Amino acid sequence: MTNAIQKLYPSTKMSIVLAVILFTLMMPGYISQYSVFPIFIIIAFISGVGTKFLSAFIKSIFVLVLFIFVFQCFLIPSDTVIWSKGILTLYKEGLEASLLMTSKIIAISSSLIWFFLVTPIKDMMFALEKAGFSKKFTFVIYSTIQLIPQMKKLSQTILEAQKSRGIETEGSLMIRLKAFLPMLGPLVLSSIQQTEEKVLALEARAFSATVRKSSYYQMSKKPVDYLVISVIFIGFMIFVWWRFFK
Amino acid sequence: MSMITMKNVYYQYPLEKEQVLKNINLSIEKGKVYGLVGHNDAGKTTLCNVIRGFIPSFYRGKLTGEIELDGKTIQEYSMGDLATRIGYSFQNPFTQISGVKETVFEEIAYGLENLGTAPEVIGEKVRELIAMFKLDALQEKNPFELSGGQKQRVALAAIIALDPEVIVIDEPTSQLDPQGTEEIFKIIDLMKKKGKTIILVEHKIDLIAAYVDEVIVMSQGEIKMIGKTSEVFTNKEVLTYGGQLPQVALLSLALQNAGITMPTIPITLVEAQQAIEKILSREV
Amino acid sequence: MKQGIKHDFTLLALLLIPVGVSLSVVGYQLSSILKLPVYLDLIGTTLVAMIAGPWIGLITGGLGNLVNGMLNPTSIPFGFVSICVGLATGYFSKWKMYTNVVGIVIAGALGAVIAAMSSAVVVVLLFGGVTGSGVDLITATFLAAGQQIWTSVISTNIISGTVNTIINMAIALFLIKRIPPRFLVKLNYGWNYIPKKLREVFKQND
Repeated sequence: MTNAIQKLYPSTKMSIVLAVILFTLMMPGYISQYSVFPIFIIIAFISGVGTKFLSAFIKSIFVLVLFIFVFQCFLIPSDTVIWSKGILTLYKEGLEASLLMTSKIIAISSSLIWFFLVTPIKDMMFALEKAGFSKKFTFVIYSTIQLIPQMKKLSQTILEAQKSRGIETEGSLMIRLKAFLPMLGPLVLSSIQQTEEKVLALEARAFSATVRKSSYYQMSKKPVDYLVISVIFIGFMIFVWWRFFK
Repeated sequence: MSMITMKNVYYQYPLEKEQVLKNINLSIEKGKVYGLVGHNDAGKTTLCNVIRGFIPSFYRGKLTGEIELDGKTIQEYSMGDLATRIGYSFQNPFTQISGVKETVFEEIAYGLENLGTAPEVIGEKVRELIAMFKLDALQEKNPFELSGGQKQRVALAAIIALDPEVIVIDEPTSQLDPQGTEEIFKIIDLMKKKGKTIILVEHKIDLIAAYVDEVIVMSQGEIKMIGKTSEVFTNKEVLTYGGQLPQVALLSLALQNAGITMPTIPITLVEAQQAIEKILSREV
Repeated sequence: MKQGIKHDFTLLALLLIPVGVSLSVVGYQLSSILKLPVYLDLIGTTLVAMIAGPWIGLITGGLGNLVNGMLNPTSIPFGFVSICVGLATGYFSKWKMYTNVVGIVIAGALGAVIAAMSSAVVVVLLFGGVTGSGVDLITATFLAAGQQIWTSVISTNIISGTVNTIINMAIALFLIKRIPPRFLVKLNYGWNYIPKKLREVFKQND
């Protein structure tokens, strides 16, 4: 993590996301919303996460946007027909609705994908604690994010173990259904029962101490953070003035 | 000086018909190492949980009798206070990882963070512990990626970071290989030298014989025997409570039955060697 | 037993949240590996909601979508569905509906309707009737047949989601039956799943 953008304070990055969301919702039309996407591609590449950004975007948003166009343009009938051939009819209202909808989805999603790619969890949790959120709150989020990959790995191990014990995982639906429980069962029971020991282990680490938690890991807002926040704030104010008062 | 005293303690789990602890009377002296032995459901872990105050606050159920820590009843301490008074290391190395730290260094620091310790102080203390526990090579590793033995060592370091006067260690080596076991016992020895009061539940009888000052034998929820390691571990009564004796003690007792008199019954290999040398020199 | 939101947030209950979220993720993963026709991606949320109550259930559901949303932001609005299912399952558990066959059937049916409705709200309002997955074909068929968008989406959700919701609840219940009573007794909502015999022992001890 040597990239200057990744090193920004989490709330600085969050303020960029918030500004994008508000701008996207307040701005009429769809052209400016669509232009948010290429801007974020550039920002993502500058932040050193360009490829990851594009791959996450294509995996999550692309199909959805495509489907929205098909649905709104061809399947929901309205008054004005733009184009028609055979059973396919393209409606003007549908086209406009899908442009408005997808432009917002793309803009907001790209800002969020970027945010989570360039903000280490550790920084996020530090900022949340610093902002006064309780340690229980950050603990639950942090341990969830850390536990998921561990459980995925564990389920893979169980899957392989069950396969080698001769439990069939391919074949008819009944066979596959039957394979499901012996796989999930041990995982559920062991992980649930482990929470019991985990409570005590946390208590042994003074989790219930009533003093305010400190952090060995430290990060702070630097001049560049204040600069970015000021630019965003002033820029947004100018936008609001232009949009509503001019 | 007595660190922990228990008087007429009885306990029953909420869903069980029988009491798991019966008439427990015990005095734990400051600075001594206690070995708690007995078969699997003798009530050893339950006793530890009572001492640490997890019973009844977490397990619920019915607890009667008096438990005092350093002159105050255990109920007078808050959960946070107890964490700094009585360290507790558990059997399962996997559940002791906090799950919210990305390096071993931070994992050890976690308890201190919960106590609101200043970052500079935390850094200093953790570096000290890492040196003491020989964890240098591991300090940047993710705690999830450690082996069982390494996790157990990190967990113990994380507990000792809080600098408790009493340390309860519940079967630390049950899931460890011989090398991991040896590392843990080295640490226990180090803590003993630092004057900590230690209560150790352990099945490896030869290790107990070598490291602890006093042995407590439990069976069916009761304390059956308590005394100096050299006395308890040379007494065959232990066997009637489902306990074990060190191999060398058993051998010496058998020799004695066969008419070979021993100067003392040894409980460790070193003692056995000395005893045998004495017998041999006598016969020559 | 005392009730109330704060009372539900014991440390043990809090620790069930990460477990519940991970179980849902693993449930989804396993159902894709085994190519099952149902997605068991609510398994953790329903299970945790049943034993730890509506508020913990709500958080488990919402957090699951939030964490998925880090890579796929469109998952975040669907958190509304998980929140509704978690909350409802928790309340059904609180009202002792999972202790008898009639209750289970009603809970399954209500759960399915709640999931279908809440999902329709997100799908229609934010995504124009689309989820980006295979079930969209069913919605498309309804639309092509001249149905309104709301009716189409709700019908699709009921067709595709009912079996899903019910199977999720059923498996969660099946698994809870295997959780040792000494664990359940420490949870505010675990009581109803402890065998009757042991509950009597508890009352005697009290």
